[in-house]
Amino acid sequence: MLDDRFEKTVTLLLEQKVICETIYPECYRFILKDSNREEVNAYLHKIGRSTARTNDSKGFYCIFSSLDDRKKRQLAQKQFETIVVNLEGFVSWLRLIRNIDKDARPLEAGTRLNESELLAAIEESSTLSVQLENIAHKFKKRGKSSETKSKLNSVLQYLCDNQYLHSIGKSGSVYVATGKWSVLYDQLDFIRSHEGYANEKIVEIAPQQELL
Amino acid sequence: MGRKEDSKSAIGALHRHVDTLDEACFEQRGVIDESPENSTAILALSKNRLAYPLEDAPAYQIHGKVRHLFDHVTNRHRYRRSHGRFSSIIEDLDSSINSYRHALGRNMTDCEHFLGEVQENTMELMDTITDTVNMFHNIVNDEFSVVVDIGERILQTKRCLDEIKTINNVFESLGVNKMREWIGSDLQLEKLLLKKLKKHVDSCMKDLASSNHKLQEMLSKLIKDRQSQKLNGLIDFFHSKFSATPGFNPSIEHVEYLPDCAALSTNIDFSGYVNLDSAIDTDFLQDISVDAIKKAETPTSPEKDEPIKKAKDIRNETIEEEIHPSIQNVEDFYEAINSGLYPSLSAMDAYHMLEVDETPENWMILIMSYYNAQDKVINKKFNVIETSTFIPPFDGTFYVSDIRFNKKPK
Repeated sequence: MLDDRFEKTVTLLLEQKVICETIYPECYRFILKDSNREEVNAYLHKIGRSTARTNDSKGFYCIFSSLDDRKKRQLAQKQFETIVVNLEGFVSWLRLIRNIDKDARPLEAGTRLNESELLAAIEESSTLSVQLENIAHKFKKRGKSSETKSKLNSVLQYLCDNQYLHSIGKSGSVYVATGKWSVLYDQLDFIRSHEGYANEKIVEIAPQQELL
Repeated sequence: MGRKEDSKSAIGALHRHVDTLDEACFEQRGVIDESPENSTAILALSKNRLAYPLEDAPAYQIHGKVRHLFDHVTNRHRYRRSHGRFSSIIEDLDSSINSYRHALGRNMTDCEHFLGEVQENTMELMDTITDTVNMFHNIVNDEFSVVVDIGERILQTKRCLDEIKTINNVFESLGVNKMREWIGSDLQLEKLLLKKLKKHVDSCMKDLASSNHKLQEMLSKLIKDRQSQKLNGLIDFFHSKFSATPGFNPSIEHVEYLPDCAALSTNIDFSGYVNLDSAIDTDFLQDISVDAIKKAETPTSPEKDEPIKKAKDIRNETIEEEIHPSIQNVEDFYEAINSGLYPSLSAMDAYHMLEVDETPENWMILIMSYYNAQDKVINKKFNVIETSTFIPPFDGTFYVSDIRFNKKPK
């Protein structure tokens, strides 16, 4: 059983999948354990790779263990660029979902999305409809149909195909966000700090003081 | 007076007589004695409906709202004081129990006196425990409600959780073992300590556990809120960035140190050949072999309306290759050249003579294609001269109208 999970986990990592509770619960629980992760890392290290954990610990993925080699650096850069190409679309989608959520909570790994609820909210608001239209355009999923339902479905399907969402249930209208969003948030955070903007809003916890 | 004036007057009265009020609230159970030094305070407070006269005594009772206000604003301070009181009360209780047991069977009067002390200390301890738990409960429920900043709320919640641990240590020191040690075999102490005090401690511990649970939930929600705040900040930042700079395209080309999230490795797809000698997989290998053969043999399905043609055995027959007339014309032209009978031959002359069924341009292309394939042989015997004209506007574009093959002198 242990070998089977090891094999599955390593295969997924090398296929550049993000291992999260939503899509690969068994492998996620396996790699969550430090001893198993060390074992996986020891194996990957031999082929110049290693595992990385997202800041929220909701996803694990494979990285180059060192970028000293010029070719590896170019490959990593290329991988990063594939994300950047669709960055505006992803950000717009995150904004749309946050606008729909009654508590204005952002989309995170594990968040459930109900297609009919999303549709009802978008159809009620012309602003949200415009946002969806823009997202469909950014993802090149505009299609010929002018119906909101069709556009929403295309966008959801696109996100499913790229493993940002995972369809659950038989009806296919309920989706759960995957760990890929956690990777994206980390990348956004990196880009922001790289662009020279300090993370001003985050409050660090000061050293503990006596209350009484 | 107006609303604002009433408020100012009441707050002013509280401010001016705060010492009298503090003493009355915490030491006199909210009662101010009618005395010359208190007369100004009583006048000001009763005027603002903050105190009213008692019927059965020459004194004034401070209004309950004022007492609640003093309770509320000083509960943290009083909590601090009460926490330190535990150890002294427990020490007093321990001492009175020892004295009681020492006097037991020797002096009945002393015995009753020390038992009374034990009772008093027990009651004081119970009151102190109740106060502490209630005050802690108030801190959890009230004080955080005014703090807006998430970081500060997290900090306060964490501090409170640590304080709960400290209070639990006090409760632990009042456990069953300690009680047994105090009681020994005395029935009166058993009734007082084990049944009354222990029951009270257990009840307070439950309340404290409930507050602790609530605090844990608060902390978890606050941490979640902070995480959401951070992510929303990121979303807003990039939305503004894309709005202000359309086509914003961050690059990591010149970043020296790349974090994990920007060092993603490339995809490796796994595949492999089957082991044809594997005895375990024999059945599977047979299945895929049969499947592969079936796929290879699948004929293309004929169209419905088309009649099926019967196959004809023509293996012993000779089939003549059909040559396109234009190709035949080209071959005839080059056969004439290679015969050596003609000192000079023009492609266009041949075109007219052979009545080639092609446009002159296509004819020239056919002649050139053949020439390119055979140029080494032809160049040995003939000088090839192209007749061409420049076609504007592009320099280098020529229209070749004829090619002449002149036999080289021997």
